[in-house]
Amino acid sequence: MSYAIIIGGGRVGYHLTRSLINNDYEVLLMEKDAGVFRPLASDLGDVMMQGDGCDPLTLKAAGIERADLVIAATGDDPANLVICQLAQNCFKRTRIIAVINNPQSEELFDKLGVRERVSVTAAALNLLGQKVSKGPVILLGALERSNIEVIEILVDENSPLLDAKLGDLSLPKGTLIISVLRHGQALIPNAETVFAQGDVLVTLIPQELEAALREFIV
Amino acid sequence: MKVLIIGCGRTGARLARRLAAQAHEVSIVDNAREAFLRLGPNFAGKTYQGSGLDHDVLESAGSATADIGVTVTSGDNRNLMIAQLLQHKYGVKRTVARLHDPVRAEIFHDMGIETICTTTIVEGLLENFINQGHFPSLPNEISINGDASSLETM
Repeated sequence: MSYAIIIGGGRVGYHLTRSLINNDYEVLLMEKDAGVFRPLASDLGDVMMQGDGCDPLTLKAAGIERADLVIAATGDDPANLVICQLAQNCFKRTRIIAVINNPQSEELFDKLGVRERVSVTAAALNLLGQKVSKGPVILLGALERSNIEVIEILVDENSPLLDAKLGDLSLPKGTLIISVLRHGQALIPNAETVFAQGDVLVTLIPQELEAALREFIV
Repeated sequence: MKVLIIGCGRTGARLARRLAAQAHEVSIVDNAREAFLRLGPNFAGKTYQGSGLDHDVLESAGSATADIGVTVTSGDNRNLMIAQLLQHKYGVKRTVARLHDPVRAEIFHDMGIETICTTTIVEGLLENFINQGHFPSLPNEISINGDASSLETM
């Protein structure tokens, strides 16, 4: 059975704990604040430990040396960074995941070798952006470890793509249309594909070309 | 020297005053505007209100050209993160993080981040006081028994 230590009993830590338990992990959820800890302990019982996950002695007492997975999920980026650096450098753990609250922190975590990160604010902003975005180009997300973005292009009645053949288009170089969603089916396009109204083109594009693509489409 | 101090509590403010009086170019950052009152009316350095984790705040405080960065906020983790931010994002050659937790202080020191630990320093001085009957003498103007001179200059 794999052993996971999660630090931070906020919403992310709580729901993650429940989901890992359901996936047959042995889980320990650590929370520093007594007011947050008590209700969690009456709900989750033995899984909970009260303590400061930034304190190396507490991490050791939690059995971090045998942990297969360490997740720093507090609402405080400096705490999450210290937890990851301790797990990495002091306790030599290999599977470490950081929750990032402030998108500005991402760069430093990356520079310091914290490779696995979940940027909660950036993810929420991204989803909200999809909901409120008007135009035909919708950003779905960025691929990890690259500057490639996944976007959706909607072919509406005013689109310059309508009735155009893919092979005839001069899209910004580097644009890769990986699939065309048409009537609920995913098609793989080729140079002969002609776009119809209502098509959604799932597209990979380097981040720096996104603006050029938006100009091309609108 | 261009010195960037993050945290204008007692330590940060006193250090800033001392260094500015020695004609160093001092910038000090704190979240709370009231904290700058500790600097007194004649402080010759510059103050910047905002979070020491905020890139815009650090940049306006001159992080890109600082010779040395000192992090003395009330949080050990924050001091470690800001010191590493100054080092790795802004290329500040020398940084030092003040910590209360001796375990974290040694681990991060071994990882190449300069740390100074209040706990081990006070503990050592007290041990000396108990075993030798007096405090050891410290170099320069380091006062073990405090300093009320700021009362007159405020």
